[in-house]
Amino acid sequence: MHVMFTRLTAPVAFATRARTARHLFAFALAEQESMLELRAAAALCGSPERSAMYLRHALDEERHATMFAAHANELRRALGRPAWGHPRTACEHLFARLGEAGFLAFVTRGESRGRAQFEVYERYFAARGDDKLRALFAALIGDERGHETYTRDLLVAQVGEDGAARAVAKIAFGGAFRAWRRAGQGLAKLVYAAAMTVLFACLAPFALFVRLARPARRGWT
Amino acid sequence: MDVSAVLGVSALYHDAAAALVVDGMVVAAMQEERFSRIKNDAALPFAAARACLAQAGLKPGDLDAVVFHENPFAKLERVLLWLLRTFPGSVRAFPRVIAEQLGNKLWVLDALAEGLGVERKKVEHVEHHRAHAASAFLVSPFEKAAILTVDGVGEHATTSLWSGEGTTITKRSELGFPHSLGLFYGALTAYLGFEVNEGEYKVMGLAAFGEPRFREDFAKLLTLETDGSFALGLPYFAYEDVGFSPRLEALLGPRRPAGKKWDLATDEDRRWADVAATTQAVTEDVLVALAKEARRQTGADALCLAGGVALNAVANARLLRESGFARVFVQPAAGDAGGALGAALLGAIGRGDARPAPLVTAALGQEIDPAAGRALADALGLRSRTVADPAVEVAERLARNEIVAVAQGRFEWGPRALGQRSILARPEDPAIRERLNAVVKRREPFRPFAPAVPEAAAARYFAEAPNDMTPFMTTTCPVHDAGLGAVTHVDGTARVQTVTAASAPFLDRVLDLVGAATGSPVVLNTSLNGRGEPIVASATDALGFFCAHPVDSLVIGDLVVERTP
Repeated sequence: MHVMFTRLTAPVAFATRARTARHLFAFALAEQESMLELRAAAALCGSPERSAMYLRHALDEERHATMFAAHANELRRALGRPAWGHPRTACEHLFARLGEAGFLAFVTRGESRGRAQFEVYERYFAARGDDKLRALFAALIGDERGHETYTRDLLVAQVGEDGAARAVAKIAFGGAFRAWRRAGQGLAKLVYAAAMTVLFACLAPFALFVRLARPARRGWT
Repeated sequence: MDVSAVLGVSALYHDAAAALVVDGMVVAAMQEERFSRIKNDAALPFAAARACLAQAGLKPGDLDAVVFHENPFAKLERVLLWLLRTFPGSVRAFPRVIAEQLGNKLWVLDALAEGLGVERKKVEHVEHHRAHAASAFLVSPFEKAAILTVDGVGEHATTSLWSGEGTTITKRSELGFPHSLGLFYGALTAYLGFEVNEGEYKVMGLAAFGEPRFREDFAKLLTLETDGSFALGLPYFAYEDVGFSPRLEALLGPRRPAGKKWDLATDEDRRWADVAATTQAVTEDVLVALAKEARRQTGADALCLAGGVALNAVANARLLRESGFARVFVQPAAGDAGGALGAALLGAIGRGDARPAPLVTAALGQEIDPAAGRALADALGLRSRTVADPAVEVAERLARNEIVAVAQGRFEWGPRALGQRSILARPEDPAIRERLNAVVKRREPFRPFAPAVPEAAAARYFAEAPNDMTPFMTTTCPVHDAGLGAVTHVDGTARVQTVTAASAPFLDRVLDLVGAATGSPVVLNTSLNGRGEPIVASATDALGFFCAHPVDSLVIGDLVVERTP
């Protein structure tokens, strides 16, 4: 389903250079966020061996973020628009919130979906004759597969095969719920914007009053 | 005398931080970014707060007060006034700004109580600029001083003059929003293609490559009055998005596209360097005028400076030379993070604590854990070994012209690495600077690197050093020695750190050993972080840096990590 959706939407997502840049930078932000989650996991997990795995993974994600951002910024500059620079984002503190097994299930599922998505995009850009972007996605697929494998192995080692399947299913359900909430947030934003525009218009008399009663002052007070 | 444990907090704009004062002593002060690994992280600093408490062996319940660095209610009033004064131009900003204010900023005191697990009645606030003033004066070496606080904006004030004596800080006068030197510098930072609240250092470094030839145009942007006050040419500025209006581009020419590679041999980039030079020159003129007014109003011989603008080391050097003050002090986290320290100090003094001793070291952060580093280095398959004297190891490597990353003791308070989380190299060869800029720090070629020198030897190499700012790298000094090519900026100055055994004991010993081995006890000292990252805090961060950046070796406590041949 996810692969089919990715395949169907790829021509739209990459229809113009501006959209391509936006899409690539969104990947840069996602990789950067993932890097922060993994750095936190490396700091919190309490095992040098797993900490090393998470740290290596974090360094990969950081490299991926840099690669995506470089391509996005190059496209922006080619369009005569300002580059976005280095991706800056926050994270959701997944390790602290979900515990190690939940965190591993989340990452396993994310890497699996990421790999499938990148494989679609690699084929898409190959068919389009864009070797630069094909090579970008091709370069990342191996890493994603490796990440998927090691996190799944760690998850199975912690909770067993059945437990791992249940944990991943729980994360998938949570993902669907998050998507539903995001859609709700989108709708709420529209309602909020409309309400605030009406409220703003009602402020006209107050604006006049403030300009008369509390004008901005120059000089020392 | 009553004793107290007071936690100061700054957050929700940029550079969130926590600082802990116990029994009148500054026990710990840390920025949230070091834990979250998000540069300039503005989120409520719960990780930093917990680390401060752990440093003192306290629990949240032991705190007498938590003091936030500004008044959220007064801030909301200013924001509403601004939205109404700029009506209807504020239509785009209105929904976002109201959502920010009512969504979290107004409830920050409740959020702090809940997040830290302290009673709500223990959470209080102080005025933003008072917190800045306290952060500068109360840890300064002066019994009496004028205090100048200059930043983007607090609640209403953008610039304030204070007098400080003993434990008392008295406001003399202030300038109100929107006339702000911080916002002026920020807008020009954005115009030059840099990120606001991050790229101001770059403008300062770039300025030395240009000529201040746009003064006539800048007279329309900022008017300086004879009493030291100033006013912005408001039509050229915008208080959302990039911070400047299309009229600024009509006046100065098109903005520089963000992320474009710099080539100062081109006319285009030289013009932007000239804009940077003019921005810096005008900022310095204003600061000197403000300082002269502060001296006139207070009659003091010493000046303490705080607020984001106080991190302009080049301007601070000019202040010391031209403002008439015999001494100038700027604490290492003079920007918004410093508000946490000021808030904690005000809370402690308000409870009867004595004034703390003058700040001699910026090592107020969390201790590095070499044992954790050793275990992780082994798990990563890195070549590592324990040495008896890591300072000897570092000095020998520097003498061999290696680039060495060091993580020793507690990390620094503020944006400068001062020997606890530093990359060290020899200061002589400009090629070292090129290598560091291009492959280690991956930043603009015009960015300078700073030297560290023992305080006792500073005058041999640098004019005007040592002074009250040099221990914290908050000023620049002319370089005497033509041999220090890697740390001498194009204008012949350097942002010197003078080192003593009290301020940075490990670095002090390294400098002595390097001096004995090479004849010159000066090293290049730059922060231990990659591009876009906060400075390293933990051993995990340090090893992550080592794996991703081509420094020659990393020394964590007594652990030396080397490249595999």
